[in-house]
Amino acid sequence: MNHEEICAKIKDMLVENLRIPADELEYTSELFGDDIGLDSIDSIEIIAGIDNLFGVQMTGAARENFQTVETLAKYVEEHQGE
Amino acid sequence: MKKSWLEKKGTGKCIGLCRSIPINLDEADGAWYETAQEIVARGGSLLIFPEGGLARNKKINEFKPGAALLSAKTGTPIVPCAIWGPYDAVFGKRQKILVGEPIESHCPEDMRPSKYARQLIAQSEQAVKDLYDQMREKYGGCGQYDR
Repeated sequence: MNHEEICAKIKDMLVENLRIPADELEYTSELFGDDIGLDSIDSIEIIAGIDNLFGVQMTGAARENFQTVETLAKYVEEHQGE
Repeated sequence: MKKSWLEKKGTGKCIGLCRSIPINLDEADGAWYETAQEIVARGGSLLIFPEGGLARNKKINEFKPGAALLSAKTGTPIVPCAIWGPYDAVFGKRQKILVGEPIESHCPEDMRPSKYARQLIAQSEQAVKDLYDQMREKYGGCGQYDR
């Protein structure tokens, strides 16, 4: 799976699970900032979603990995197969 | 159950036998949520202590909103409960448990589940406090919790 495909899957997961409007979510949108405005509880769903999609565990991952779809995708690429 | 409790020598194994789900309260932990989702999907129930720790100052600690996230997502009702009396192992006094009316969960289509979870947990916290008030009225006290 290439980077673009991973980003697309992550975006779909966020749109479905967190009810983020698809047209408002760019791959570089700040998820926990002013762009999208997620809060800390949403990170639980992100972790569960990433695990379900890619088998990658994000429990305990540094906060900066959760900032955007891009950073999530990068984390997945770096940790897949661990 | 706080993860560190299951890692304690001796008691950790006993706690593990109680079918508790470990949760790491010091960092974002999604593993407990996935396990809890599977249990609810199979029709099981969960007993959650939403304060996330022991109340040591006779006040109910603020309920953690993550405890209501599963309910917000799945529509599973929350049944508030109040436990009265300190726990004395083996030959201890019997505890009294007061079970409240289920709190239904219907997250609006246009609302993020995490936001709805915060509403649910506030409602749950109030319901539990009301149950303790009932206990106080009936038994002249409610053990470790003051209002």
